[in-house]
Amino acid sequence: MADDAQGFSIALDAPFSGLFVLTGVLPDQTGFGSDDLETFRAQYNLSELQRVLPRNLSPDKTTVNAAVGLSSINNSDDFNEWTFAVDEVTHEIKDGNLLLNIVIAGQGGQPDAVPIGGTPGLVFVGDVIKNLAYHVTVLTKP
Amino acid sequence: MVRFVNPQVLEAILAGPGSTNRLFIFTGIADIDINMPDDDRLFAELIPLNLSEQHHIRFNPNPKATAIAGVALPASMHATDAANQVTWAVDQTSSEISNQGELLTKILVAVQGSGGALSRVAYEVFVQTTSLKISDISVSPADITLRNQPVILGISVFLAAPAFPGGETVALSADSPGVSLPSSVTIAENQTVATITGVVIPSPAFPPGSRTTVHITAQNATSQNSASILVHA
Repeated sequence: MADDAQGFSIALDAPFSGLFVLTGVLPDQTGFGSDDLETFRAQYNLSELQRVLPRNLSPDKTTVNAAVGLSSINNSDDFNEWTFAVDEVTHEIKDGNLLLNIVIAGQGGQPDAVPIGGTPGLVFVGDVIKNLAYHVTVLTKP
Repeated sequence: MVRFVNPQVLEAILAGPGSTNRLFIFTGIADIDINMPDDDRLFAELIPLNLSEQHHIRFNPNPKATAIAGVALPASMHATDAANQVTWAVDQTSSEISNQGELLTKILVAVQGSGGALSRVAYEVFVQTTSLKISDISVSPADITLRNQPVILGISVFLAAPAFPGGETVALSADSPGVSLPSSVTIAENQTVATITGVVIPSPAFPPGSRTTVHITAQNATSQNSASILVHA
């Protein structure tokens, strides 16, 4: 599924310059395929997904709050145990872009799922965790 | 039928720079109560939420005046061991302002699994808008005697300051089915007043010999103002 980016900016008086409210559904990226608990770190470039966000963010002048939740999950009775988890959400600003780092965990999945890049245990989504939804607030200073 | 659970709204005043002057944050849980039959087919449904109806807030539909960002997540899920496949999903959330100024959020959900359910979704919708205070509304004539013929009303809505680019759209309503009004009126850019017409219709709402007070209300995101007319039948 494509991202579902929605967002707007609000101009603020000094000492701030703008408040950005960003929401959406992140594109498919990862999944799992065994009864073992698997953990995967996914990274999304919100500056690419959200046109409202400037591409020259400065780490020293930007404050970010990010929340991510499970939006679409699936499993089958081929597995004895199921887990769906967002374990950690962090952010970083790199080359002016806002990057969202999300640690997800899952257990169970489709046994015939296709590995990503040959990585054992990781499969295309559509499986266990399909989509993640986010709400990110960005406060900038001039 | 969607039932709202603990709907909340936060209104923040924005002081500028720029004309945007309000930020609204709507949160809550919608009880959508989707129960699956005894098979594993994937079921999808678009769930509409009318947040304006829930919170009695209307917005300017002009996209230059109002911007929205929203998100929703599964909040209450259920499965049984009769299912071979289970899915709970919010695949998409979108929002718009209707021509009547209503904030409509549409949530595309999917569910799979024999005997399973997606009972509730949680939502968070942010709206930034530009809204000027409605300083007055006048209706003329204010005292009407119906004699089997409709009576035309002149309705003027006044803003406290000239409307911003794109104009200010204000929702209109009457508390009697015997009064017909446009659902909204737009005060044009740089103007402070707009005038439209409505109609008082002879109808069961005004039984013979009655005296009925009808309130006509103009409403936007930050204010509302009413005028009353007296209808003799």
